[in-house]
Amino acid sequence: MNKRNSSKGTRAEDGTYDSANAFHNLSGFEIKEVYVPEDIEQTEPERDLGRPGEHPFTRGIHKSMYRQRPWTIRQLGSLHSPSEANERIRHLLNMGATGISLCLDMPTIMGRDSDDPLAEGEVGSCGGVAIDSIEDMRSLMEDISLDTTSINFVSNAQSSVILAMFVAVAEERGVPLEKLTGTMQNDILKEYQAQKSYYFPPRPSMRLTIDTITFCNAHLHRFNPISISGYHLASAGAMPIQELAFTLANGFTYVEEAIKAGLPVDHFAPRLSFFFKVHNDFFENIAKFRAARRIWARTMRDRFHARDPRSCRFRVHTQTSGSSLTAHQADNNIIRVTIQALSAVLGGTQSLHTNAYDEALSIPTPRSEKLALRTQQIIQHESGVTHTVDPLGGSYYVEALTNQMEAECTSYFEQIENLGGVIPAIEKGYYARTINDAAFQYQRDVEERKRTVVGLNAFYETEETDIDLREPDPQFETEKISALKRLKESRDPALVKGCLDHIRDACRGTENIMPILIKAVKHHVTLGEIIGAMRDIFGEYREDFIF
Amino acid sequence: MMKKRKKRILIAKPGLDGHDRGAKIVARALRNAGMEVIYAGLHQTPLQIVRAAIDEDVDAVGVSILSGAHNTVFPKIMALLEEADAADILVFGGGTIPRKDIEALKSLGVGDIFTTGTDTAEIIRYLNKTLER
Amino acid sequence: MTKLFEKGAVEQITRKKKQWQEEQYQPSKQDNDPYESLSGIPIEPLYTPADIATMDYSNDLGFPGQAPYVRGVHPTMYRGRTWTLRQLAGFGPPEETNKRYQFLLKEGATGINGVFDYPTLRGFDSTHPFARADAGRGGVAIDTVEDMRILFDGIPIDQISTSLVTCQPICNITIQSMYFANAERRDIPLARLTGTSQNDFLMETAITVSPEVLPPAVSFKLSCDAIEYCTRHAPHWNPVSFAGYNYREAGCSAPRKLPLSSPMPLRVPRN
Repeated sequence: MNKRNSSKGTRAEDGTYDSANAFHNLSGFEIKEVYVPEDIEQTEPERDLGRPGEHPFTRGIHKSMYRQRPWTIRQLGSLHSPSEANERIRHLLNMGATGISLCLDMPTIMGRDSDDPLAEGEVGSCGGVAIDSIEDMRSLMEDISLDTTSINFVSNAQSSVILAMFVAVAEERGVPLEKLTGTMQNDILKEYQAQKSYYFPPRPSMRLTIDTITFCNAHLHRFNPISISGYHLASAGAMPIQELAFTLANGFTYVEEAIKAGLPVDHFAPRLSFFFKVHNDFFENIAKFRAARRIWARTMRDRFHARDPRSCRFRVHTQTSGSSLTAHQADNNIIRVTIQALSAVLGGTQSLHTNAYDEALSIPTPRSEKLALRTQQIIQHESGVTHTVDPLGGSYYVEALTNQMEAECTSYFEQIENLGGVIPAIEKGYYARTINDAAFQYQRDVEERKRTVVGLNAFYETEETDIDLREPDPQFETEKISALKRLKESRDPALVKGCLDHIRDACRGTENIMPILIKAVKHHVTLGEIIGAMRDIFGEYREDFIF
Repeated sequence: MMKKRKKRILIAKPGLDGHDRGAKIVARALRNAGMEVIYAGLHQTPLQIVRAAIDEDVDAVGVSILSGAHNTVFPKIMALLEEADAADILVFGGGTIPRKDIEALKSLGVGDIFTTGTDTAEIIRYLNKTLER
Repeated sequence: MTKLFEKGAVEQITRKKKQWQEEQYQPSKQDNDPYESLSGIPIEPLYTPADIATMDYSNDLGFPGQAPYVRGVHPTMYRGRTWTLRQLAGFGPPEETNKRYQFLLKEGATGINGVFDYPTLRGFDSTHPFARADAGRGGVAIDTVEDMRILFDGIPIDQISTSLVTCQPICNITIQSMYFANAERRDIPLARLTGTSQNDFLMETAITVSPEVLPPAVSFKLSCDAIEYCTRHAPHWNPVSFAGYNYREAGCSAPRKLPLSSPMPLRVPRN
């Protein structure tokens, strides 16, 4: 196992380094001064690289990649009320975004309705949209053409409910389900490992996940029911190599569970998708994508016996690193985002979100939002990097680094196997410890100036920047609560109770819960009520916190 | 001579947000600096935080808020401590908190607030200095 | 001879690429194929070892700091020392530009990049009726060695390198002289100075339209004089910088840029 080394020696502000000190990347790999053919002697181009669109997909999952079609520009767009969010979405689409990502507010993320006492002061928080009922989903999707817009729901533990509402609205509008495109993040494993917005213990959560995958598999053929995420692991502190290994291990776990639930691998695997971060180290990012593609392809074919080449394709959405951005000298973030975005493109991402430069200070303003979008458009249309596939293939450094990341992954996989698998590893605190250690080491490196952050620990200025919090309009919270009250009063209580009882029964049993949820949301049962009913049966997960 | 007691600090994350990287790093840094640190964990209500602070007999409570709910949460914590006759417990914090709000919180008796980019050494110095008195 | 790939491998890859191109790539090709670089060089959909099959590592790539220097002119490159952060600056009177130099150095720039106004570049004093309106615009106005003193006041020219964007030999000979004279006044030996003068005779004549200040042959001699002087007295000073950038900005494509800027370097040493 690669011990994480902090980069020794600091680069002085005039650019000079202490000589003869080792260089390490973010994953702790020592970087050689120069890479030569010998470093990739063992690489067999046919076996290890192949061609784009062919196993092992190292060079790209499609034959012609961006020459044929550019990656999807998929910017996050949410604002606390469904109607405001709807406006922002239509605005982004008009400005050239080709897909939409939607975030939820804190209460919705935690499975609570806007009128829940725990939601007080947080309705519409963090730029997320408050979704209590199908009413909100209707407002959110107003005037948006569901069969031509690709929508990514940043929804996890509550995915089954959000999906139910989305499907219900599509049905109401007469849109055939097989035309719906988009993604539900729906990755509960990473919640336990990093983001912590879980409700129930791992096993019932996994059941819900498989239910959504099965349902989409049967009815929403073009919809990706899961986006297996590394981004959050990296944000919590995981090094790129860990992000890679843990994401893949989670992916394999979902595949195992889906197969156990009786789904033939080639039926669901083509719709599995991933979500990566691109952090500061340019080439490490690129190598990560390539290694991911190769490992996924080989494992799906060799371990899970996938026959359909599409089951072996590692399709990924990428976001530039929020945690690399600074509140000080926020303009510098424009450059960070540009470089990170470029690495994602050279790595072969299928869709990309670029952060706005004021991320550390506020929810993006229209101006900063636009600039982030333009960043991608300039790369796409002006830089020429899209004109050939996998341009860095063959670079000794990139190939050597790709090989190295693949090899390191194997040792992480063994560690997790030895603990009994991903879920036992979660329960044993493996991820908490590993990620905490990496996060703490990173902070130490910054504080000891072993890692330079321009504007923070080098080239520092005292300046009067301030955080500009977009406050959820308190009026909005009041209005939302009133609207919710009206909705609840307009319902038939017996019908609501019936739905909730039915949900509880489904939780006790093994039937797919999706049709039951869809029926319930059509009867205006709220998200909080549904999650509450599930909680009655599944219980609540309590974590032993390690720091 | 009475042996100097180690400083006892409670670190907590109130509300619904689960992003605890910063809180954990601070907790660990304080522990490495020789303080006794209790990490209250996620999804704490102000009441739970105050109860834990009193039960654990801490010298200070560090509250991490990234969600913007600080103007609701901090005053509640201060009020509950006052009610429980425990206003001598220092309350400090961190997260995404605008400067203008920090001033307002300080006038309520909240200690220093350490926003993003702060060096953990600064927090340690602050606690050492403030808790000496 | 250090061939990179096994012959058999290259043949196989070539065959398989052709197959891939016919069976997979062609069917999904779009109308925006073929692609070309800005220089009109066709860009293949995919590059494989076959595209560089005949390369010889030692002769064609080698190692940084050794001929043919393809991989870098220094052995350690940016691991040893990063490139110089050399931002162009120059406007108004020397006092203004001096302030900007100081600001840039304080913010982390590691070299000076001095831009001069049109009167200075074309050999006019700021007070000349023809040049007056352009004085201080687009560059700093330097008329005398006193101006040069002010321009570099407080700047450690014995420690950092200075690039003087003195395109024309006529401008170069005057500005260079003032720079050196100023250094001597500051008791800095010329042998300690590091930096560059553009002094690119051909580029100036080919690209930038300049009034006929001097006949080309005389201009060329001035250029060579400067080179000769530096070679003898300021060995760490680069007396000429063959500028491809300006050809490009004027519209020339990159491959054309290279041959155009190359004859000049070959000609000058002969003189």
